[in-house]
Formats: sequence, structure tokens, C-alpha cells
Amino acid sequence: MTLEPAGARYVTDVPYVASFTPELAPAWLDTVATICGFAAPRHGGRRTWCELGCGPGLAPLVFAATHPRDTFHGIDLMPEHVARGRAMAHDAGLGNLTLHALDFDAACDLDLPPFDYIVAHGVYAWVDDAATASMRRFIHRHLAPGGLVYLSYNAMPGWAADSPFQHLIHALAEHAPGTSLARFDMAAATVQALRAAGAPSLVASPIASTLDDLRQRRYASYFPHEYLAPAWRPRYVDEVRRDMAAIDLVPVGSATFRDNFDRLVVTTAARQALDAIADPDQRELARDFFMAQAFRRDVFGRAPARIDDDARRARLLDAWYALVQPPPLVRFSMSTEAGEVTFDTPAARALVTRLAEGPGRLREGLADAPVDELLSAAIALLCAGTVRPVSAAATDVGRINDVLHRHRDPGAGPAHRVLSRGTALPIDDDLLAAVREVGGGADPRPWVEFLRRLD
Amino acid sequence: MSEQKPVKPSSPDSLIKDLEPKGAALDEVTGGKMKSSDKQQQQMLDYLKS
Repeated sequence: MTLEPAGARYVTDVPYVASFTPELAPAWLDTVATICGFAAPRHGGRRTWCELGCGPGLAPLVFAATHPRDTFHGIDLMPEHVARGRAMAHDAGLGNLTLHALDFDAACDLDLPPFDYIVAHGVYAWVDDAATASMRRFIHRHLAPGGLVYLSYNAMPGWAADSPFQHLIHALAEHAPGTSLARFDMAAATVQALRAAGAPSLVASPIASTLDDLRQRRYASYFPHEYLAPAWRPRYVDEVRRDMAAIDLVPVGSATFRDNFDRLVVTTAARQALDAIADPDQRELARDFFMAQAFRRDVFGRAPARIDDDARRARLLDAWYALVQPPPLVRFSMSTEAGEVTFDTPAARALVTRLAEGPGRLREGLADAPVDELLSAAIALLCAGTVRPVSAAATDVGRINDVLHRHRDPGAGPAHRVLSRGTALPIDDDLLAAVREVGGGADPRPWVEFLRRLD
Repeated sequence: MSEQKPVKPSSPDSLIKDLEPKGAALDEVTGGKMKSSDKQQQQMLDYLKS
């Protein structure tokens, strides 16, 4: 069988949103492994990292700039993406980042170092079986022993109510004239009219019901990539685990931190029902039915070593963390699929106060706090998105921030502020204007103060 | 020759014995569709509009 070129099997006429995914960071993936009782990759002080489907390369740019001793690669089918990323890498003077304009099949044959981390955000459910097979072949060939793979994807059963909506949008747009953006607009208008006329399958679709709001909140280029990819298909977790087992990878955990904790995401009754299922893959599949899981961020490993409870606690205490919200806005509670989790404890408040002064280790300045309470508070703050794991070493991020600002296309994605220890925050336009003291509007003082202190 | 015992860490839940959800589930609020990056953006926008 002869395949069409990869560009004919995917949306390639509209560049994808330039956004940063914090879960792709080496420190984030190391923390997932540690929480789940696995050793992080042993890289001998120099990490190697590769993203499959890197888009305009924002994640590898941020990581290459903040991990100058490490080596980063990005692979993307669209030459426009890669050209844009290369221009920014050049201006930022990043000699440790290489971007390749190739499909995944051709990338398998590149001469590359063994990678400690291979990441692919969302791509696995957007491409066809030939491309996912190429992704697996790439991972099989290029992942180092003990290395980690991050694979995120639209998941079932969370997409069950919206799959008919996606199918209809795709069918209506498939033979329409114009760019993918124009075809999506046309198809969306038709679908909205059908929904307004009472089509039950569209009335029952959460996405169809909130499409206007969703289009306000997301960049236009997201929609054709999400809804018009010919091979779009959300996956069940057992399918993906089977795929990864075929290349000798084992499940490590989830880069959605709270999904690693049954206590946080499924009720006691659900846990008791799940306990009747002995097979771990079947249990995970069934758990997704309780969570209506629509997007998974799975982490797999190649023969990762296990660590015991003492080593896990020691590594979590020794890792670095950064606060990514202004302290006055921190909520000591979060909503999960199982209910409202409150963690307003002295340890959590002390940790936020300590990290408000800058990134640090858990024990620094908090020597009196009981270790169990400190770990629990740190995990709750990680799960809430208030705190992120970050690199131990800080770097000067002035140049990369300047380059991202100069190259930014306001229609293609949010502005980002790179932080010195290997992560970045999306900055909405109003806030960005306020930070530069040229804008008015609502009072953004806590964020302004918070961002200033990062300098 | 002594055999090495396999290392078997406890479940991650053992790290958070004091945490337990109560009340309404997230799905009842968001339909289970909101991703973490959306939440952060939304929180920022909500704050600026408040």
C-alpha cells in the first residue's frame, strides 16, 4: 500500500498555536517518576530531550535557553513551524537546540543521541495509524535505557458525547473551499444552526453547546488542528498502553499530577468498586470511566528502576519548586473529579510564604515543619497548579524573553514569560500591557508585583 | 549468593493521607473539559475582569 505524503494526511495549511506546555519540562517528568516510585533518568549531568510534533518550538526554545548544558531536538512536519523556531533559536544564540522539518517516518532514520526524554503533546490522537507507528518506531530506536516518554492525547470516554460533533464538523468541512480556517468557520456555522434547530446529538455535546465561548477563549488556529485532522481519534488508555508495551515501555504515571492520586480524583465508593479489578491496565481504563477522562498525559519508561519510600521522600524534599501565582491569589483548595479538596494547613501556608521569596527546596527555611505535612502540602500545591517543579540551576532569561517578545505573532498564541529555572507562564495581553505600565483596565497589581519579583 | 529483594514503593496515595475530596465534583462544574493551562488562563482573565 502506498501512503499519501504526511502533509496530505494532516492539517498543514495553518500554523498551530504557539503555546508552552509546562508538563514537558525535564524537572516535571522527573517529579512524576519520583511520585510514582520510579527513578528519574540517569543522564550523567547532561540531559537529552526531543519533542515529536513540536509546532513552532516554544517548549524546546524555553528549555534550551534554561538548560544550557543539555541537548534539545524538535521534530515537526510543517516547514513554517520549523523556520520560525530556527529563527528564534538563532536570535537567542541557542547552540543546543536542533529543529528538524520532517515527518515522523523520516525522523526515525536521523542520526541522534539516545534521549533521556521523548515528548509528544496531543499528537498521538491527531495522526493516522502509519504516523503513530512511526512515532513508536522513533521512540523504540531513540529512547535511552531508563528514559521517559510523555504522551498526551484526547481520551475516551471523556470525548464520547463530543465525537459526533467532531465527525460532523469534519464531514461538513472536508470538501468545502478555502483554507482550513475558512472551512472550519463554515462548518461551525452550519453545526450551530443545526444545534439551534434542536438536533439532539448536538444539544447533548458539551463542546457544541459552548462553542461560541470556546472560540472566544482559544486561538483560531487551534480549531482546524483539533477538529479537521482526517485521522482524529481519541484513544482509550488500554489501547495506548498496549501500543507502548509493544516497544517495551511500562506505565510510570501521569503528568497531570493529581491523576497519580486515587484519593484526589475518585471517590471512596469508586475506589472500592475499582479494587475488584486486579489487572492494572483494566483498572486504569475503568477509572477513566469514573473521571470522564477527556485528555490524558501519560508518562512511560524504558526499564525504569524502582525506588523505595525513603528514596522517594528524600528526592521530593531535595527537588526545587517555584510558585507560579501571586501569593494573594493562591487558593488552598482545588476542585477535582471527586469533589473539593481543601489543604489550608500551616505547612501549605508556610510553603507558599517561603516560595514567594523565590524557588527553593522543600526543607529550606522550613526545617521545623513535620516532613509528612510538608510533602502533602507540596503535592497538593503541585496538583492545584500553584507550584511547579523546576530546575536546580537558574539561568539568565533576558535574551530568550526578548526574542520571544520580538518574534511574537499576537494572532498565533499568547505572550510568554520565561522563568529562570526552566518553565514559562502564559501572559494574557491585558496583563502584558499592565506589566509594561502602558495599559489600564482592571487592577493587575498582584500579578505585576509577582512578575517583577521574578526579575 | 543472596538474592536482592525487589523494591516496591507504596502507592502515591500514601504521601497525602490527610487529603480527601468533599462536596461537588469538578465534572459537575466544568463538564470535565477544562485543562490545566485553560484553568490558569481563565483564572488570570477572571481576575483581570473582576
